[in-house]
Amino acid sequence: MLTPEPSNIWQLYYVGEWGGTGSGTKQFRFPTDASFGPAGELLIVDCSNSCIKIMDRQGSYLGMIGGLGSGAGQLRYPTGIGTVALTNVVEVVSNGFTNVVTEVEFNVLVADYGNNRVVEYTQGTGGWEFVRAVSNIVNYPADGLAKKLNEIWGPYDVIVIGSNVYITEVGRSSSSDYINARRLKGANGCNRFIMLAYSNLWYKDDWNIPQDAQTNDVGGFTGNVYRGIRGLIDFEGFLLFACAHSSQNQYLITDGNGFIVGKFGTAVIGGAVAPSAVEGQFAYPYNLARYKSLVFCADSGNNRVQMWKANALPVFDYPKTNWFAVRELQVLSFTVHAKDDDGDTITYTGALTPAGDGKNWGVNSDYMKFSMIPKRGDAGTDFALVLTASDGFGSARMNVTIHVNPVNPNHPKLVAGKPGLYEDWVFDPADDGDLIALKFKGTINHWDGSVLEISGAPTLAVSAKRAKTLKGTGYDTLYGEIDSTNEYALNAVAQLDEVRSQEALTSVKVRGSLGRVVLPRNVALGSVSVYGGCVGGADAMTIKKISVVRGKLKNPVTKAVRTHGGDVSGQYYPGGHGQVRAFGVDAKGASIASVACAGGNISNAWIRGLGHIMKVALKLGKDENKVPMGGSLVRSMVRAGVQLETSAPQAAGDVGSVKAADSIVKSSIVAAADPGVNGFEGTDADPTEAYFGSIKKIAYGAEGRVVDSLIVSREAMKNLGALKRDTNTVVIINGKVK
Amino acid sequence: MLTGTEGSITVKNMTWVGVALLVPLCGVAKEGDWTNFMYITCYGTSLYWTATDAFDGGAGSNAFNHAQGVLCIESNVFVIDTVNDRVVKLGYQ
Repeated sequence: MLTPEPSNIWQLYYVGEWGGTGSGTKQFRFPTDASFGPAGELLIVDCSNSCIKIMDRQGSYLGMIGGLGSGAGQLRYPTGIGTVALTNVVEVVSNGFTNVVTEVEFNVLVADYGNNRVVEYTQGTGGWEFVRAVSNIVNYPADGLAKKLNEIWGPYDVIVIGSNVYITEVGRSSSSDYINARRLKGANGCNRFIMLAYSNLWYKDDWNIPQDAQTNDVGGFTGNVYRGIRGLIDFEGFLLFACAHSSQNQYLITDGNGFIVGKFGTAVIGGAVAPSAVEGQFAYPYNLARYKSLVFCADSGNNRVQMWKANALPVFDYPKTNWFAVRELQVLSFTVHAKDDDGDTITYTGALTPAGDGKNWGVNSDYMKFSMIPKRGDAGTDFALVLTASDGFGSARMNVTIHVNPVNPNHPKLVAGKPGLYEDWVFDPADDGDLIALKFKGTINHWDGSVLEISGAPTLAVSAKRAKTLKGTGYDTLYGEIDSTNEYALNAVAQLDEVRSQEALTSVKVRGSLGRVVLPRNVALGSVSVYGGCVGGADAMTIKKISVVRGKLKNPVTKAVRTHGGDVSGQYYPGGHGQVRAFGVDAKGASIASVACAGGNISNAWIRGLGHIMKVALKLGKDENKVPMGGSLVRSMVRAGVQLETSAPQAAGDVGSVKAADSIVKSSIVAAADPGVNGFEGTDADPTEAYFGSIKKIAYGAEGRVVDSLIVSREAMKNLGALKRDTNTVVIINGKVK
Repeated sequence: MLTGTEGSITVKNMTWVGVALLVPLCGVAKEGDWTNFMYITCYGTSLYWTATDAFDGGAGSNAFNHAQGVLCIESNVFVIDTVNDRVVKLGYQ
């Protein structure tokens, strides 16, 4: 695997130069190629001086290889050089012990153009030493028609890949003697690749047309493709080489057996394309070099060097399958990931067809999550999900099919509505693909996640299953149908019109107004908190606490009602009354433990308990100017022992105390049962005992009083005689007006 | 090749086992697609050859004359400026 190249090397600048025309140690005559030696020194092919000049990277002369001639180790107009590192394993006997050691040997192969051979040197202890040369191809197949095809004519460049030697042979001006499928007769001007075994330099293969042309036409790569082949390098096992003929002007990429796998350069195969200085076009390209994923090309006819990037396209590794099955209303979620061998940052996109109830979301550059929840009616549909991963240079694509099966028949009751558009997903930190939060606009039928966030249209309706937290934003209606055995909380920002739950709720928190909370009568509601808004009401068997901060409590049905700087009020619904109701599960009925209002009033409210009302307390608060405010019971009713839903006689409840920090105005405090439509006649109940309950205490502030009100009790409260009341206030004790 | 003796160590037997696999074997499929070459930039005067022009891009610091060879490392690119008979050293920026 390659590592990414530095990101800041997209431009080149001049550093220095050395050389000059001549045959001196630091001079050249027509240099053509270069390679690095084992110590990083430069091995420069000094063609017309028939040698390899060895220099360090600052241009200091270190030595030379070759010299004009045809003898062993000599060169005649060399043009190319390749390197090979060898591993030699030897047995070494030392002090009677035999050890196996590995020695690394560094060799170079030189395309000895003028001598029609390839020469190999090795760096020995005394410098570079001649190893061997090959000009006649040993074990060349005897096809009977070949004419000197077992000879190497004009090798231009040579490289070693694995166990093979590749030679670009350019010395033949005509290939009329080429004979078989890989060496076409009449392929005039076509150069040849020769592949030898490195071990013994014996013949393995040769070709002058692409291997592909034997079986198929690969994108037009047929005919005289290998014309003017020059520089050759190994790139991840592929051959990259220049086709410098004026009809080519490009670099081709083949595998080691001559199958073309690509090209670069914009020239058109087979066309007589004029050299061009346009970016990406070549004129007589020659040698090339590689650093990591960068490739530098000697664009000789344009007198420039071009920089290219060999981009490794992303490859998808997740999901592991391209076929999924999911039920209607079931959540499907999986990770999408692609790897990029050269480390480019990947961006993901996805498209679902038909456009369904799904979304793909790029979490970051490392991966993407895709999720969808098929709607009712999607059964039988095969959704086509097209995933793309782009690295900025190219992209990979993955086609995924998502098959939808019918809804689970055991699926709980669902709220009708059409699924809407998801806006955002949140996955759990464990990154195991579970969705824990969802934001969307519109309507959703079902949700299996842990946190559900809702925002959008006023008509939004939500049914949630096994959601630990439901969050609503905007003017939404949130139906939280929670059927798990765990306890959950509902959270809303702005307004929730309604919250319904089949299971106990630990809390309902609304940053705005809450229309109503409805739970079955045997299900408890932990707390309702409203910040800056109103609460219309809450129905439950027991409600531990309702808190209103800077707002109004409108129809609470609870054991305890507390406001902090807000009102308990029925004004929210015109013509209606706020209600505080406590239901019961037995004949005795449930009681209201306390209704407490700090800094606000209770107005237009019904506080009714089928059992007892233990305490109604209003405390003075202070406004922003520290002026006392609130503390009055106004146009409201506190009545114990009544339940409107039944027409039968009801037992009376007691009112423990009603304490107003200010006044009690136009309100009724009644401890009396409702006799029902037929009264107590014909029943065994004692009308007197059954009808009336007691009021233990009524209190008001030092500056307050009882005005235009009604007080009904079985017996007089302790402070009845001292009660400051106006003449319109009626007090009935045990059925008699006092 | 290793021959002879060095100090007290005697090379008893020498076995050549082949070319080191410092480069991948040819013909073996690689992960990813390395055949997608993208043009990045160039260096040189870009005075290109035509039938009537001189085959010369100049000899200045930003010009090559039929440069046929190139070599690169992490810090530099060496251009074998063929007809100018020189090596030009470039840096990255």
